[in-house]
Amino acid sequence: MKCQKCQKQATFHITDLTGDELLALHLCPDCAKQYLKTDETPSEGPMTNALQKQLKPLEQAAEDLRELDSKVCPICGISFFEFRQAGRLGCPHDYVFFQAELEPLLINVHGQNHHVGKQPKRGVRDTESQTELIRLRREMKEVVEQEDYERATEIRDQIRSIEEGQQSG
Amino acid sequence: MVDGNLEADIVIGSRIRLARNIAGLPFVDHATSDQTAHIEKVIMHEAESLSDPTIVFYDLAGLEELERQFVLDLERVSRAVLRKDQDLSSQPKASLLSEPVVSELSVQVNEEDHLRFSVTRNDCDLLSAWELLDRTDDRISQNIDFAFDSQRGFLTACPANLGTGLKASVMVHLPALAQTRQTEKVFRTLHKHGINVRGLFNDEASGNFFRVSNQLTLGLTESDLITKVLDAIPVINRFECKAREFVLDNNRDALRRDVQVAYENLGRVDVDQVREIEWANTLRELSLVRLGVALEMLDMSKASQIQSMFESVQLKKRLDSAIADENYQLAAELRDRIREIGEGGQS
Repeated sequence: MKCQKCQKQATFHITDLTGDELLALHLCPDCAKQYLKTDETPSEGPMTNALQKQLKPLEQAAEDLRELDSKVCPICGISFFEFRQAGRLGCPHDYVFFQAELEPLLINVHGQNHHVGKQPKRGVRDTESQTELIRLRREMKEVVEQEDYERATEIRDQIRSIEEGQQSG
Repeated sequence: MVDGNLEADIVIGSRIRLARNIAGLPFVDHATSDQTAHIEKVIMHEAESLSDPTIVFYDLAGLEELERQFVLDLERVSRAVLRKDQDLSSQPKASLLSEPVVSELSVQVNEEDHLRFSVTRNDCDLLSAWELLDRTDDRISQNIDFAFDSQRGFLTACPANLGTGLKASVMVHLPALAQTRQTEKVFRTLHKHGINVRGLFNDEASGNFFRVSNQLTLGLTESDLITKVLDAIPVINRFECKAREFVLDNNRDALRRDVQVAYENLGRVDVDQVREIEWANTLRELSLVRLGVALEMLDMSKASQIQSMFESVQLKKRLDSAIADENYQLAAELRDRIREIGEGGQS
């Protein structure tokens, strides 16, 4: 079994109590040490903490990190490096695109990865068309900057048709 | 849940906020100015349709200086926004002593997330605050699609807010724990149970005030997250009470003297002296007076008087900087508000 926080072999199997829930963690020795240590040092914030925890073993493998950092979301154009720097994502699709990288982070911060709280009153819309809207709006900005107004017209119509589809749906 | 005044001795106020983003748009940091303008338009339109007079909107750019400072003081605006705003970066004196008297709903557009709205109260009835917030969320979302995923919940710019997007916090005053240097120990224990405790202000002198909040936002229901925070308050209160007993047993006379001096100093504070006031010292004195009332060392029946004292001291501090900036229009507004509070306190 692989470590939940890096790609090493998991040799530590920790069961932690978060609230009323039991949380099972499978970690390599380095990450286990980090995990157990953090309870002792509540520092600036859970995000910073978790990011550091997650990225520490990665720093040892500079090449892996470079590869990871250069991964760019095709929808909003944010790289994983930018996310690491700012601690903020670029668009909702990043949760899908960086899923593998974010998974251990979510486990670290929240101890869980599944939402059980309230749902929006309106039914949840088709996420694919939402993602397409973000991509089209970004492309629109680029082509306008390049003064390619013919392409901009096409994109505008595509955006309108998706928006109309959503309103009527 | 809160029985008697025990918790009231340590609780200053509470707040719940929800973070939401509109589907089909990038998060604020990566949105174009057209997109942020669009977001603002959409949210304002929905909010107006609520026709709820208790909703207060904070459009930072459009706020008068006084209002803006007031908003900042209530820490409804994060440090990140402070940095973006050149005018304010020179004096980041956010503080949170004067909570609004009634529960109050506020809405922020285009901060870290497209929409953040919160309810602030001057007690710790977070469940009532949640009812109002939940209802408002339902109403706003009638016509807006929020970015939501059935597994991940509400999608937020920062993964630390993912899921419910809910942050429930109680502001507490823990002078005896701080004095006996036990805060670290207590907070570490709470941290293991998903409760985050941080200093309310950044400077060291105000180390007696803290914010207790839920650390995680995903994997629990909204009411479970709130209950978790509420359950921590009596625990913290017990520790603080024990520490107070210890301080009283060992240091009663010195404490009584300090409380009396602080009370007299604060009572002397008036507009003419405002320049002499040192903020850190004032905070320390306010903390002592609050403690003195709790320990019945001071003959002051209503904690509300301290509340107004807190507020007027804060206003006087602002008056000081308004005068320094030669902004006499603002100074006049502040003067009138300070007088209002003074009159209210005497009646």
